Amino acid sequence: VTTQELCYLTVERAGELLRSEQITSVDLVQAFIDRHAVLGEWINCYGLFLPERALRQARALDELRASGVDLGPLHGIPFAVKDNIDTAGVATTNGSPVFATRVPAQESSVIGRLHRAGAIVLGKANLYEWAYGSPSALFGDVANPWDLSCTAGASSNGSAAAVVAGLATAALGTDLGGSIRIPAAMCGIYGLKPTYGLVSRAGVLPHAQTLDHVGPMTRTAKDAQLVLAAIAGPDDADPVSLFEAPRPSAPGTDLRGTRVGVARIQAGHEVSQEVAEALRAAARTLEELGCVVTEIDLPSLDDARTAMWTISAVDGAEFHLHLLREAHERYSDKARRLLLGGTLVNALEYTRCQRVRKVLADEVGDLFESVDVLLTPVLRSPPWSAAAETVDFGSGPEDNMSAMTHYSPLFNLTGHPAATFLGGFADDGKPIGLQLAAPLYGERSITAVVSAFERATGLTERRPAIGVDPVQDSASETEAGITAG
Amino acid sequence: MEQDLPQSGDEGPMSSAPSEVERVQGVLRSFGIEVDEKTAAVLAEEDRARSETVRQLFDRDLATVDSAVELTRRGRR
Repeated sequence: VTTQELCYLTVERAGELLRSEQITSVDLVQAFIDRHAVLGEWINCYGLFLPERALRQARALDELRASGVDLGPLHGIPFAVKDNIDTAGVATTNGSPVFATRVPAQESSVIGRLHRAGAIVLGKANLYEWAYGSPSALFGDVANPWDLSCTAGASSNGSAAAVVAGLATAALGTDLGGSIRIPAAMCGIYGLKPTYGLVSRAGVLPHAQTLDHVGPMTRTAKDAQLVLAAIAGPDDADPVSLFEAPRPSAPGTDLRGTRVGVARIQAGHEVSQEVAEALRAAARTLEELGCVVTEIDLPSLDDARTAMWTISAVDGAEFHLHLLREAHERYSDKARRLLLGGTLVNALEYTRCQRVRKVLADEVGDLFESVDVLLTPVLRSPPWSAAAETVDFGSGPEDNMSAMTHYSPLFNLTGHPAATFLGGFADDGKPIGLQLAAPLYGERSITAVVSAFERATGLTERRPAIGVDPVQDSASETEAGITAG
Repeated sequence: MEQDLPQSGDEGPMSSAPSEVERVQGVLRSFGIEVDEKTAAVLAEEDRARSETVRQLFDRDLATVDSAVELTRRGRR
C-alpha cells in the first residue's frame, strides 16, 4: 500500500486493513504527516495539525489492538475535527483571534465518543470564523483541492478539504445553515447533517441552538454511517439530545420501489446548466437502479432562507453578546455585522420566523408522505473563485455566504436529515454536489440510496489533481499547487 | 397586514439616515456595545434590507396553511 493509497482509504477499507493487520494506525498517521508536509501549506485545511499527539494515540491504539481489543470500525482511524468542537487540552479557537489562546479543559461529548470508538484526532480543521461570516482571520482561507483558486465553501471548509485532499480519513463538521453540506459540495465529498438532536452538541461552540448540528464528512455514504453510529446517542449535557431515536426501515442494496422526489427549481434559486444536468443524470441513475422518480415542489426556499438568517443572527447575537461587548472590534467585519445585526431584529419578526419554520417543517413532513427521499441541488453552480466578493447566477449579485445558502437551510429549520453526495463533475473537472434528504431519523435511507448511486457511478474514485503521493510524484504536485494558486 | 407595520425605510435614505444611525447606536448601547457612526450606518442599511425581506413573511397566510396542515392530518387519521 503506497502512501497515497493510505491517505485515500475509506474508513471502511482502512478498518479492514487495520483489523487484518496489513497496516497499523501508525502507518496511517505517518502517511498523513508526510502528505501534510507537502500539501499542508497549499490547502491550509488545518488550523492546528497535531502530528506528535496523533502518533502517540496511534501507537497506543495499535498496542491495544495487539492485546486483542477491537474498539470497532473507527479503531485507529485519523480524523480532522472542525475547530469549533472542544478538544481537552488542545486549542479550540473557532477560527477567531478572540479565542486564539483558548484551550478547553473539557472534551466535547462528540470527541469523547470518537475517542471511545478508537478514533485519532489528527488536527483541528480550519473553518469560517465562528463558523459564520467569512474565512478565518486567524488561519486564513482554505483552498479547494480541485482548483486552488476556488472557494472550498463554508463553514466546515477545512474538514471537507482535508478529506478530499487525502489529509484525513474522515472529518467532523457542524451545520447551522449548510456548513457541512456546502463545503462537501464544493469539495466533492459526502457530508451528512443528521436529524436534529441525534448527535450531541455539548462542548461545541453554540451559534443558533435550534439550528446547530454536528455530523460526519467522509468519502462515502457508508463511511458516514459508520461515523454516525459512533457519535450519535443520548447526552444529558445537550438539552435537545434525543434519548430514544426511532430506527425506521430503510432500503437495503435493492432500491426497487424507493420513491425519489426530485425538486423543481424555484424562481430566484436557478442553477447552472452543469448542476441541472447533474441533477437530471442522478435522477436517471436512480431510476435505472429501480427507484420511482417524480418531480416535487419544495416549500418556499425564500422563506427558509429568510427564517434561517434571521433566527441564526438573533440566536448568535444572544450567545456572542458578552464577547461582542468586550471585543467586537476583534471580530472580522462580516461576522461582526451579522451578529450585531441580530440585536436589531424585533420580537415580532423573530416570532414570525419561528412560526414560518414550523409551517415549513409541516410542509416537508407532508412531502415525505408521498416520497421516501428528496433529491435537490446543494449549490447553484460548481465551485467559484475564492476571490469573488459577490457572485451572480442570474438573479442578481449576492455575497458569497448568501450565494452558498439556497438549498441547505430548509433542513436546518425542519430538522430532517440531509446529506451532500458527489453527483457529478463539470466539464472543467470541478465537482458537483447534490443533496438527498429523508424523513426524521431516515439517515439509513440516505445511506442506502447514495451507496447504490456511488457503486453505480464510481464517481467517488476520482481524486483531485493535487492528490499525488508526495514521495512518488512530488514534482507534479508542487507544480499543480503553484500554477493553480 | 403589511400596512399596519412600521415602515422604517419610508422616509428615504437622506432624511432617515441620521435617525436610523442613532437608533442602531441606541439599541447597541443598551446592550453595552458602542459602535461608530460609520458602522452604525452600515448596520442600519443591512437591517433595513433584512427587515424588508422578513416583512414578506407577514404576507404569508400562516393561519390558512396551519389549518390546511391540520386538516390534512385529521384526514389521514
